[in-house]
Amino acid sequence: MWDVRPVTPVPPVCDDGRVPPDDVPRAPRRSRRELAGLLVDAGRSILEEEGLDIGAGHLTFKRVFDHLESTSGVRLTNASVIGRVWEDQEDFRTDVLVSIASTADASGELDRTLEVLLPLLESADLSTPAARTALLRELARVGGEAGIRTRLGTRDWSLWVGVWVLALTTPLSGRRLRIRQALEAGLDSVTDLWESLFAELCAQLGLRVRAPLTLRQYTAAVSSMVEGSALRQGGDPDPVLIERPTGPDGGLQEWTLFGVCLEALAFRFLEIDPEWSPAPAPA
Amino acid sequence: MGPTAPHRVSPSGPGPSLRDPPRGRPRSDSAPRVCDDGPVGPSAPTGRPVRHTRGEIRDLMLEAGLALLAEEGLGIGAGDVTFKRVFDRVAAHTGTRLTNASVIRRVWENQAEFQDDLLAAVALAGDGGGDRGETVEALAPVLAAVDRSTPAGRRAGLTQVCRVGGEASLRALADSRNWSLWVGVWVLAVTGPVSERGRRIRRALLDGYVTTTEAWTELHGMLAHHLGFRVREPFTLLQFTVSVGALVEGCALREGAEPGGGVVVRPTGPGGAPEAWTLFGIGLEALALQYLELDPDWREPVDGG
Repeated sequence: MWDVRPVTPVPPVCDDGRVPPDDVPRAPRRSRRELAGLLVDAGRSILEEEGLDIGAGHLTFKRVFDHLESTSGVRLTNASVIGRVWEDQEDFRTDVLVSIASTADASGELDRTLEVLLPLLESADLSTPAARTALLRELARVGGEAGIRTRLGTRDWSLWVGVWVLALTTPLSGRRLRIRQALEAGLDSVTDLWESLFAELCAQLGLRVRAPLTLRQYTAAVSSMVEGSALRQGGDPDPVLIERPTGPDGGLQEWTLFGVCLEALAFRFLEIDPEWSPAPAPA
Repeated sequence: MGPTAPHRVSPSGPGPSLRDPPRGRPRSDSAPRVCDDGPVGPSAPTGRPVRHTRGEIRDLMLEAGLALLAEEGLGIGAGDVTFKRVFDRVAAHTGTRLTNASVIRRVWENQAEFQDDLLAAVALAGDGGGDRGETVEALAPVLAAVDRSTPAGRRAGLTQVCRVGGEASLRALADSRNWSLWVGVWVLAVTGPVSERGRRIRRALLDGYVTTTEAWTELHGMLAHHLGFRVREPFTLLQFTVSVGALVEGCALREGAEPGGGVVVRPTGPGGAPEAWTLFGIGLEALALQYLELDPDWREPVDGG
């Protein structure tokens, strides 16, 4: 933390070789290492106060016009947009960031996870509580691996989490507030989507949420686990695998760390519903 | 970097001619070519081009902007931290006056190199470690009060450690400026283009990450030992720590979007009394029960340590 105590009288020093203009005794010349430490500490304290400069600063109108013309043949100029569509370039950048913030699942992660889970559900043995518990475990294993791979493999996610961090690390101004609101709305809508998927899975597997917890809380916990795991993974698309004796007859199966965590959360938030019975097969 | 002065694009201007083939995806000859600031390009091949509405232009531009960001990533950096601002800061706080001549080609080649060093310093610091201290502080009375004489007492102790320690570490992390800076630099490394600068920051991040994870692993090991728990086969304490770290960071991100959200009341107090839990605390308990188990060989130290 930067020391903000009042400055005690210290002789001013020009450290570029020039002699100070008054009769103050010359302070010792600082070494390169000392200078580096001094300035990095000062810079860090500025960052701590103001946050990182995260954004789309490199996204100029000119670059976007060029991109549009080369990809679609549409020619635009500043006159097409300034004062007509956006107040200025910064206003446009804010809109781009708002657009990213509001599309929390642009990568279609939910669809891809479902694709992997559906075959498991179609061939599921739901005849006993033990079989349903085993299926929940398998869904965590397979769904966990698919979820984390999809997440890490998409550019959309890294942009989205970048905007999220931007919203967290910079002071709230009018434009930042718009990004933040879009982020919250996007987060809400994606949580709604996942919550309905989990509700459907619980209905299929005969599970219920342990009192006093809620499905919304479970969804939020899983979502936090996904975001945190993807951050920890640092963009490495090949997660570490652990072998566990969870297969048929204790056979070894590969688990991602994320899958192990998903299983833990599932067993903490969900339990077998003793009153559930499988839906009758369609006639 | 503000907007440039409005100007009209002439077909013979500095940009590509309307007759030029596009640099990217080929377009058909019939694709409309639009000069949308008033005049219609004289060489438009298919008569009067369609004038785009504001809404259409907005959509076109946003789509293009998103495509560029998807290719290049968000710019995250310390661009606002200029030498001048840092010199002013140093002078205000220490009385030391520095100039460009003090540092350029003496300490750093240029300002950009200084800004890279700054990001590397943030990266190397890890999550700051502040939350570890606050967690230990919050846990001290809990650990002192745990009844370790029975397995049930030790299990109840683990539950309380998760509740109290979970809340303390989440709060400390979510409020930590160090952490939000660090996670920002992390995103830079993950989303930025591959470059020497990116590699350098990434190395610093990994070093900071290893140091932080080691410190947390040590703390988790001490807590598990104090409560008479051991790691379940085939897991490791490091895997537990990495999992807990991922969950707390995910929860801290969410906390940023929904401050104070996710408090749950559970009957975990003495005699089933209600107690407030954070969502992270509940998740932490789930992870602890997944990775740890009571150690049947553990004996309570005679001196109570």
